[in-house]
Amino acid sequence: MKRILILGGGTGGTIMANRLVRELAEDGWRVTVVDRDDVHLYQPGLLFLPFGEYRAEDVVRRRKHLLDPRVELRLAEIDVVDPSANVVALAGGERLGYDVLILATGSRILPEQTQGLTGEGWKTSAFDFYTLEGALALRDALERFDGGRFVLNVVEMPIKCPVAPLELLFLAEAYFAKRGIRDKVEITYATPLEGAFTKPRASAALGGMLSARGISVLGDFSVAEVDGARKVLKAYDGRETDYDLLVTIPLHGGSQVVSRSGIGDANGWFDVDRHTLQSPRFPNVFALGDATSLPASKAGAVAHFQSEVLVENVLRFVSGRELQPAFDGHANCFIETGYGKAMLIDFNYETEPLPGRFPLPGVGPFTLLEESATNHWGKLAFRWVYWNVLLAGKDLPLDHRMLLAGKWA
Amino acid sequence: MTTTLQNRDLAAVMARLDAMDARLSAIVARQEKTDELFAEMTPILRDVMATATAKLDGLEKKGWFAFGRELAGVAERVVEGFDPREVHELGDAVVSILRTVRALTQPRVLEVAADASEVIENGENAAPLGLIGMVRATSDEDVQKGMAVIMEIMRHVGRAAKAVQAERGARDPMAARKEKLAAALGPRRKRSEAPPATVGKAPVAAACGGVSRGADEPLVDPKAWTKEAAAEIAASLGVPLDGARWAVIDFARSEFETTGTSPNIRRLTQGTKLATKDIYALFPKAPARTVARIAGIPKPAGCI
Repeated sequence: MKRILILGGGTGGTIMANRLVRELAEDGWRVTVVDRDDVHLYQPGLLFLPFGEYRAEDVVRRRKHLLDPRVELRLAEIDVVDPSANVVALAGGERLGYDVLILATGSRILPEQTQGLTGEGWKTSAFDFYTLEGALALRDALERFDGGRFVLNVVEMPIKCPVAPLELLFLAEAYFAKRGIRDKVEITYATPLEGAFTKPRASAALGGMLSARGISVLGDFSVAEVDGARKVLKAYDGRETDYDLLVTIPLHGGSQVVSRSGIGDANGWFDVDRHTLQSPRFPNVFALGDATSLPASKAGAVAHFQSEVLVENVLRFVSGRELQPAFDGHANCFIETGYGKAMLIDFNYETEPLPGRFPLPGVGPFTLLEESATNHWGKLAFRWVYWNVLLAGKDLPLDHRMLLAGKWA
Repeated sequence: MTTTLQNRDLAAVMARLDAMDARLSAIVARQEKTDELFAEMTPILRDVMATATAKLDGLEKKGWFAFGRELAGVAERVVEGFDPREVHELGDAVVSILRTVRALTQPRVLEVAADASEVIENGENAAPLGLIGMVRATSDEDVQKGMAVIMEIMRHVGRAAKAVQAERGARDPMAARKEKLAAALGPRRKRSEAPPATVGKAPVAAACGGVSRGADEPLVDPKAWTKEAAAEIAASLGVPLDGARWAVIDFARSEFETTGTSPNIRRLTQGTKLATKDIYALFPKAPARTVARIAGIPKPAGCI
C-alpha cells in the first residue's frame, strides 16, 4: 500500500490530510499524519486570550476529531527524516516508509536565543503570547497590571502572523482604556524594522494610527539583551528602553526535526520551489505553511492557499504529470484594531496590501486597509469557519490566487 | 416473576430503541442531505463568486463605486445644507431646472456661448475701445441687433430684481440659504482625494517577512546594480567601502539572488561568520537596511 506521510497536524497538515484522503483513499493510498500530541491549537485565538475575550478551551480541539476517520494519526516524537531512504524514524525507534512526504512541521519560538530573555523576570514581567501557556500567563499579568511602561518587542523577522504585534498593541490600548487606566500606561513598540508600517500604501493609509492612540514606536531596534533584573531592553546600537511589562515576540525557527535531519537552512526552514512547493533536492518531498523558507507570510491563510496548489501537485506527482507552478505568495489576514473594529489586508509575493473591498469589488462586505466593524465580525466568525470548513478541507468560495479585482491599485 | 418483568422491561427498551432508531435515521438522512447540499453548493458558490467578482470589478474599474461613494458625500452635504422643506421645494422645481438646462443647451445658445468664449480666448486681437470707438461700433448692424437683445434681457433682469426686493421685505431666505450652503460645502473632504497613482507592482517578494521596495527608497534595480553605483550610495550614506564591508554586501546580494529575500541581521551574521556587534561596527545605523540599500536589493520589510 502506498503511503503519503504528513509530518505535523497543524493547519497545513490537517487540510492536506483531509483533502488527499478524499482524493486518494479509494486508489489504495494510505494517508498518515504524525504529530507529537493530540492538541490542535487555533493560533489566531491566542491574540484574544490575554484580554480575557477567549478562554483556553475556545482555542483547542483534539487533532483526531479534526481529521477524516480514514486518515491514520500517529502520536509520536519524530526523530529524523531520511529523504534519501524515503524513511522517517520516530523517537521509539519505529521507521515509517513513504512514497510522498509532506513537511507541515511549522515554526516555533526560540526565546532562549535572546540573551537574558528567559532569565530573571521571564513569565513574571516578560511574556510571549505565541504559546498557550504564554498567553495565559500574560492574561494574569495584565489583570494585575495597573500602570507603567508596557513594551512590545519583536526580536527578529520572520515571525508567525507578521501583523500580530500591531494587533496586540491595538487590543492592549483598548483594554487599558476600558479598564480606565489608559492615562497611567505608556505603550511602546520596539521593532527591528524601520517602523510599524513599511509598505508605502499601508504607511500612507495607516501611518497615523499608532500616534493617534498614543503608542510610541522605536524603529530599527534590534534587541541584543534583556536585563530582567533592571527591566531594561538593550539594542545593539546602544539604545536602551525600560519596561514594567514586556511582551516579546521571540526569534522564530523551523522545527527541530528539520534541523536534526540536516535538510533545512541555518534557521531550520525547509527550501521548496516558491511556485510548486516541491523540494528542489528531493522530488517526492513537499512542504507548506510556516515550515518553508519562502518569502511568504508565516500564517494559516498562506498554508490554506498553498494547500490548494499542493493537493493538485501531489495528485499530479503520483500520476506522473508535470507540476503546476501556481502558488503566488497569496496571504490575507484580519487585523484587529480594538474597540470592536478590524482591518483586512490581502497581498502576495508581488503586490503590497492595497485599499479596496473584499472579496466582492465595491461591495465587500470587508474593507481592505480600512477599519470596520464588519471586519471584526469576520474575524470572530472565522473561528467557526476554521474548525468546520477550512480544516475539513472543504472549498471556500475564494480563489487561492490573489486577485486585483476590487482593489484600488 | 422477575424474568417476566425483565422481559417486559426489555420489550419496552426495545420499543424505545426502535423509535429512536427511526429518529436517528431521520437525523442521519438530514445530515447526509445537508452534506450533499454543501457539496452541491460549493462549486456553484465558487462560480457565483467568480462571476460576481468579475462583474463588480468591471463596475469598479469604470468608477461606479468611486462615483457612488462621492455621491454619498454629495448627498450628505445636501442633507446638512438643506432642511427637508427646502429639499421638497427643490424636488418640485426639478422640472423647471431641467427646462432651464435644456434651454441653455440648445445648439444655438451653445454656439453663442462657444463664440463668446472664443472671443475671450482671442482677447488680445480686440483693440481697447474708448467712448468714441463704442459709438463707432454701434454703426455695425450685428452689434445693433445684439444690443437690442441685451436690452430685452436687462428688462427681464430688472423686473426679477424688483420682485426679489419686494419678497425680501417679508423674509430673507436666499441669504440664509446661501450661508448654510457655503458652510456645508466647506473644504472638500479628504477621502475625495485621488489615491497616489505612483505605486505600481513591486518587482519582488512583497509578502510578510520578505522584502519590499518602498516607493520612497532611491534603490537601483538589482539587475542594473554595479559596484560603482554601490560605492556612490555608500558614500552618500557616509559608509566607506573596504574589504570587510564588501564581503557583507556580496553575501547580501548572493542571498537575495538565491532566496529572493534580503537578509536580516541574523542571516548576515550567519552568512559572513561575523558577530552581530562586528556588523554594527561596520554599519552602525540599521545595518540590514543599510546593507540592502548599498547592495541594491529591497529593504527588509513587514507585510504592511
